[in-house]
Amino acid sequence: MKIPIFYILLFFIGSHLYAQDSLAVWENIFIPNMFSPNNDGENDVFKVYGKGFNTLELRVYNRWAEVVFQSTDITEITEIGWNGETNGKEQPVGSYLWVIEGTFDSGKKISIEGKHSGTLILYK
Amino acid sequence: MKHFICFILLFSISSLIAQDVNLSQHWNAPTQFEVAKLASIDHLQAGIHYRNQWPEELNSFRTYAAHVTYPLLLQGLYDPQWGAVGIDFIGDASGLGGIYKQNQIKATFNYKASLSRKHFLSFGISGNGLWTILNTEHLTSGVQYQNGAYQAGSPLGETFQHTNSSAFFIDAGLRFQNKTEDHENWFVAASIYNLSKTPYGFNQKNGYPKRISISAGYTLIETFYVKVQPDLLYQSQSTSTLTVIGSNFYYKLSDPRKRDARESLIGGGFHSRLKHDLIISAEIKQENFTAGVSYDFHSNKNSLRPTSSFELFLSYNIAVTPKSRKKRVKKETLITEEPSLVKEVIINTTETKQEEELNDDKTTMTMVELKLLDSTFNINSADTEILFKNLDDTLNQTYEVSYNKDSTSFISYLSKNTNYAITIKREGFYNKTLKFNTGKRDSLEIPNKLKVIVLGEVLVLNKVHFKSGVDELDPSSEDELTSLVSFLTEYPNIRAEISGHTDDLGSAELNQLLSRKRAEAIVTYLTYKGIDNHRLVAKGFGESNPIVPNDSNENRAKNRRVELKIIGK
Repeated sequence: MKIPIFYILLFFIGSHLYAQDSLAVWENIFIPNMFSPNNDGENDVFKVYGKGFNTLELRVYNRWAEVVFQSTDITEITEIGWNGETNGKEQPVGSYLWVIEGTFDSGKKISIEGKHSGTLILYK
Repeated sequence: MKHFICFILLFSISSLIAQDVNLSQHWNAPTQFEVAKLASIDHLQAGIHYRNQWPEELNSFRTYAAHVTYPLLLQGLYDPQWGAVGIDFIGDASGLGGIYKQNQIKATFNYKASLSRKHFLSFGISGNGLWTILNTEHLTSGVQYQNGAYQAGSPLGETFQHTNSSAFFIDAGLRFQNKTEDHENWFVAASIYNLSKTPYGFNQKNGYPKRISISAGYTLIETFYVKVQPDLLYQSQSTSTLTVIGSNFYYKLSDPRKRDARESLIGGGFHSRLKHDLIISAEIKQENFTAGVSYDFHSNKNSLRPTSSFELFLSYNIAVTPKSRKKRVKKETLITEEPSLVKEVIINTTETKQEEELNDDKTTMTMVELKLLDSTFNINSADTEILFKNLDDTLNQTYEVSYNKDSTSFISYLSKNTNYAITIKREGFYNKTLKFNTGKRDSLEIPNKLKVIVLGEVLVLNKVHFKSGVDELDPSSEDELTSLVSFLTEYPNIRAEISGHTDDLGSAELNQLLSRKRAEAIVTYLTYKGIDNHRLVAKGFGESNPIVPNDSNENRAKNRRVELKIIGK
């Protein structure tokens, strides 16, 4: 009696892992922890990389917890990005915090290793 | 206890308002917000600080700081401390594995100038060495996302050859403070950080932006049990500004009625970063150390809020500056005129017995020649008046004495076993009345010394008493205070310093406070009785100026006193 339950459990775990794995191909997210807005053509903007986004909201805070960048527009977040300026003024070199919220097309909530925020280094 | 309940109530209300998290401070290294703050720390002090910003997140910001401050002391006129030197170490790590680290060593020099008895201006300057380290192992950048997926490998797609950089900055600041003895009444400080605008960063092109920091504090309430100190911090850097307003509340655990109580304070602070955060702090302050914790709540209800921050703080006074080095005002400096003024007048008596019939009583009268011997003190000058009074005379009249024109003596008739009072009056002197009884013996007992008080000299107000442990005057003090009022009314040009002193029992700070409060109570009384308060200075010396060693209860009683000093015209 114990054996079928064990195999059923194993099946569930295995299929769940497989489903997770297969979803990753269609839905993924990558947020770098550094960018350098120095107009050399490399890493000049901070943006969210990935695919399968349904809704997306991004905010960047400075160390004084002021919002230096925010957007709810997927195109702006994933293609245009933040150029390191706020209201036309360059932000200083240093560490910032990004916070993200949103869902993938599958309805899954967006998170990175279970977290919704992380460090961003502005360096140039 | 009442204050304590209020404190808890306030705390609970604030907890309800509190939503979530964010940014604090007030602690960290002392020079992080005020470059010229060191000159107001008068002990050799070391401290450590830790701050974790948004600790719920994987990649929080951690700040470590340590400081050592050394006071520069001198036998100054109003304040013994003329400056300070200090070294701060500030380490800052961001992100997982400390992908971005900044280490800073800051050397600070402060100079403090006394503008007046109460006002001090400090100037501070700091040199900072700053090292920035990028940890490439944990660094990720946009170039790693290729062909629709994250590719592990080098994030350094561009010219990131220099992952480390260093820079030298200069900070400067001013601090203006109003303080009485060790108590800061208020202060205003302004500092500019990164004054040198040193090129900084990977390309060394951009100057690191200046930061301006302005802060102010005020001692709103100070009693024996509570202390309330509101303060303000404003900072501006590049496009960002930060304003934090709030107040610290202290409750004094040590009971001032228990004279052997050691200094012990607990405190709580409520600060608000305008419209955003609530910062709650708690503090323990003992004679040798201060420890504190603060927590930031972010009140923005938006779901994308950053979370919380907390901060720990511990500072230890390695060496407490002894009070003897804190002595202010040498006595000589206050005697601005005629430093050689006589302090004691010798009375030389020559008796001539004479019997008289007065009504039915047979009274023995003795003619006495009182000669005031001192070459520098001419009692016969026009500005000197000698009053001689028979205290047992019911008419209570004061009769003028007759001078011997050629000498410094006068003649009077004295009875046996009678109380007399003799007073010498002269502008610039506090005329202390000498009372004596002539005694029952054949020969009259007349004291041969009369002390007169001169400018700069100190008079102990023996008959002024206070209720135990507090600054409330005892009704028995009224006689002496009344005579003080009449004296000050009689000589409207004289200025007086009222100083309170205690024995060595109890905490030094509390004694200092108590003695100051008591001196202030006398000044308040005198002002109430119509004396212009510009003529009066109240000071508390605590246990720092004993007149006798504190080695017995009797001597301690002598040291618990109020003094009056004539400080000028």
